[in-house]
Amino acid sequence: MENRRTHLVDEFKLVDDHGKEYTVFEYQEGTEKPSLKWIKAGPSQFSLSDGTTVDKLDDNTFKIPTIDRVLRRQL
Amino acid sequence: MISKPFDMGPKLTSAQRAVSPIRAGSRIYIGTGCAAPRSLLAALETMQPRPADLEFVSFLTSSALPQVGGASRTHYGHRVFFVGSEMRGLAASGQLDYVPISLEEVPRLLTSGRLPIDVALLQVSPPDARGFVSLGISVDLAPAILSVARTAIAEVNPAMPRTHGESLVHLDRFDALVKVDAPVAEYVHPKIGEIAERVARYIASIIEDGSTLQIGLGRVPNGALRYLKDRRDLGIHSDVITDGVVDLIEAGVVTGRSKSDRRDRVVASYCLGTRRLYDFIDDNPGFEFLPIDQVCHPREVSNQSRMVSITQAFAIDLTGQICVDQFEGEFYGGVSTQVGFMQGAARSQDGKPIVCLSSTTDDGASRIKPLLEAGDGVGIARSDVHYVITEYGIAYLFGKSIRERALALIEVAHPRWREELLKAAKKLRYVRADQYLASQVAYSVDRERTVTLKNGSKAMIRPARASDAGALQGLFHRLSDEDVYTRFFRRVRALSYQELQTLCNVNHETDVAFLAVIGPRENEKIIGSACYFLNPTNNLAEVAFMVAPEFQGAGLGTALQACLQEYAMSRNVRGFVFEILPRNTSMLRLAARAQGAVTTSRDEEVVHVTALFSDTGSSRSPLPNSKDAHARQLAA
Repeated sequence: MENRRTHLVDEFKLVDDHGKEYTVFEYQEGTEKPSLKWIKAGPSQFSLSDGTTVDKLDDNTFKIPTIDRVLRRQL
Repeated sequence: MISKPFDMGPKLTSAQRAVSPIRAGSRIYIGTGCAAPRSLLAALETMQPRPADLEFVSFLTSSALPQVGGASRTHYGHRVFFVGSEMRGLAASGQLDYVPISLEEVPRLLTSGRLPIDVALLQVSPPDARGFVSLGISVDLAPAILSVARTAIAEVNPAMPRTHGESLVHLDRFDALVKVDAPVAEYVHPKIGEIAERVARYIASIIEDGSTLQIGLGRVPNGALRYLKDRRDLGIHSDVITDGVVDLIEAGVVTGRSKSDRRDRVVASYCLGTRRLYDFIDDNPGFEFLPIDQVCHPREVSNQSRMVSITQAFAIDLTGQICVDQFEGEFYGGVSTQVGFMQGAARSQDGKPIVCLSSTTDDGASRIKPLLEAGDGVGIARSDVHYVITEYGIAYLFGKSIRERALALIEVAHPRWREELLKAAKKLRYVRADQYLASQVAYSVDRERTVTLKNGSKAMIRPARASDAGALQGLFHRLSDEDVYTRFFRRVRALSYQELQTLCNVNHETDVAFLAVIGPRENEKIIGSACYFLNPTNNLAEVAFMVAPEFQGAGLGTALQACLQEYAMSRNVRGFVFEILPRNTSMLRLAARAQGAVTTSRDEEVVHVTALFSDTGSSRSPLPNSKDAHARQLAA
């Protein structure tokens, strides 16, 4: 039986309006198939390396709610 | 033109008279194999009074000693460089002294004076008009012996073929000649059994067109010759040749055209065979018989490109140490020419030194051992070992770590012993404590496929093995971040050892993995991976692929999928399931080309493609559950 667990699935760089760079980690609850494919089973959660929560606004826009700072992907 | 036969008159005598001057304490050399001078030996054995403390020196004898009740009987001591079946029985009586030495070193041993020879006893052809006899089927040590022996006596036998090369000796060199008119002894390799046939087929599978072969005396290497009938332009540079070589020459397989040294010639030092072989080499300029040190020295061997040397071993340990001359305490066989040929073939351009053995003894014990035991002699160092072949496949050891060697060797051991070998390897810390072996079946060489890609390059697609983990990791690290994400649906920095094992150490039943590789077997590079994992409840297999960036778009995915599908269909799998990220367009195209009825559905994150193979027949896998019913609906 596949075990559901939370897994780091991605990390990427975002920048704020001042050009400061942040590394954001994406965690998902899900299961790993025998093929080692990760099957997501719930929404993603995002945070900085110190654990600060990051909210996803859309695919390219995120926000640190505690300091109300918007971060964007460098396209 | 000289046509008158050379007069042997003054030196001709009987065997009894020829040996009568031999004094007590003499050391006497006997010609090799089927060229042993049997009448001279018989005269010495029946001589009265018998000279005390004679010691015979020989490389290899065959039908040389008197036989009583199926056992060799001799009144004298024998110092041998090879313990053949004829000599083995003398060990118990203390009459046998085995000298472990590479045969090409024997001439140096002789000329250095460390092994003085008093008398040489040989069998030769009749002289030509100028007085030259031929050493015939046994040149090997004879030139070196004749350069040091105080006395030389020869049987002159019209049945002995005249061979080319460095086989001629003038009658002046002989002190006495004995005319014999008897057939030259013949040697027929015993037929090999089914297991040896499988080993032989594996050996043949890695011999390429244009290779030059050394076959040795082993039954299995000689058996491998039969599987080479479809090769082209093979050459022979071997210590010994047998009847199998004649078959290959007559079939046009052995031409010597691709040899880089002594082109168009078969080079050998002696032969063991039947009258058919002797007639074939008689006055045949296509054969050069040369002294053993000229044929078997690693330097001479390495001069041939694509040199293939095949050695049969008694046992091997998990680090690659090879036992060739002492097994379970008993000496038989010998170091012979094996080390020279192994080292020479290793240094030859594109050379292949091969050690072969059946995975078990006749009693069923494993010949692949965690450690060689007391009484198992190491004849070939682990550092010199490249290919090891059993009836369960091919292990390549050169340049590999102890862990990699142990794993590769366990994979070619008999399935009955693999678990125990793995346990022992863990205890010795040769492999990781969490290592396992999923497959208990033989690596299937029949499943290997060579494919030509769109870019013109050729790749081999073959079943994966546990020992592929390291090379598979290499493929993973060549993938782009995007490739990794679309394969694993998450970012993965590195695959753990266990994850790598999941992708290559599979049981080939419910979990199946194929790899696409380029390059020679000893230096393969993995360029693609295809796996499937069967869901037994619906008999559908989920598939996953990795293709190296430099081969993407070259049709490798299609080739891997075809191979995987062929295997799945042969095992009555109903179909494949693909889980694909919507942005992975190349994988979507590949899935759409799967054989059978293809249906697609999509959720928020993943495209699900199901391909039900049209010809497997759902009636063969009745699966009375709701999931299966749904899958059937999709296929309808």
